[in-house]
Amino acid sequence: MLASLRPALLARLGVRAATPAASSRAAAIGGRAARRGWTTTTTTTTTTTTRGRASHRRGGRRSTTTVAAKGGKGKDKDPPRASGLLSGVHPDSLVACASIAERAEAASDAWSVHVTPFLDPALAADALAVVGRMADVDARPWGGYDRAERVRLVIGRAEVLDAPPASEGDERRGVGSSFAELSGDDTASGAFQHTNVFHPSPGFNT
Amino acid sequence: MNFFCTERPSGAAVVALLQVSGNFMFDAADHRDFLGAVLGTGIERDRVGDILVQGERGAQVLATPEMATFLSQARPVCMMALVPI
Repeated sequence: MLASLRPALLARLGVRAATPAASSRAAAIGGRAARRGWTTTTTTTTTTTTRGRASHRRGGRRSTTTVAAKGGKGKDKDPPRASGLLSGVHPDSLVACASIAERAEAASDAWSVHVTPFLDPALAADALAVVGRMADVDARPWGGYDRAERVRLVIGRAEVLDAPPASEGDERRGVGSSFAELSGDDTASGAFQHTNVFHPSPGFNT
Repeated sequence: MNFFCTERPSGAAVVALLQVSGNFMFDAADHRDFLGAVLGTGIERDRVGDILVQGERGAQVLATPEMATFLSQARPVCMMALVPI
């Protein structure tokens, strides 16, 4: 599942997936490190290889490598480990939270509002924590009433979320238009002119 | 079956409320019956929010506004637990 996300996004979010390729890569790095006398720290979930001396540069980039790998033998049961923005998120909610974080970032950049589908309470709590750590983005849970269990998250900049609708009366009129016939006076020459949009002669109102 | 759109903190509606009304006095239905009827139409779980069961009077189903129109016209939902709604 994590492989479907962009590697750049995962790297930015701090997700390190324990994949077979990463395991073999870590094993190769560990072998090279042992031959060269580097220090190798192995934990139950990760293998971190660093060089004990001054930072070694290869092609202008630091060669210090941190790769998530399976430290012990046995099956690959270890869930993906998250750090940074996704730290503390339950492994089952990791992919969904990463997707929500990506959409929140897009909403922040575009000054728009993104609404998630209905989320489980646990996933909603994790997603709220993740969005709360992000800068310039806010999330408002809304499930139709207060204390709803399954909620949708309305994500966007706080300025956008707190701003009143541009023309609340127009919107309500649009929703209820099936119950009350609208005339031209109600639309262009009526409601539209209250939005401070100059229109010298609103015509073709049917 | 009627549905209403509830407003979100700002802007357009993001949640629709479907009122499922019928006579459930002699054929009681609980939460799983309503949820099964809604999901039996083929929509995904994340399109449906809470379901507030009201006993003999039916239930209130919260869903996305896109699904509200579909659910209000869905045949399996209109006849649930042998009770026309």
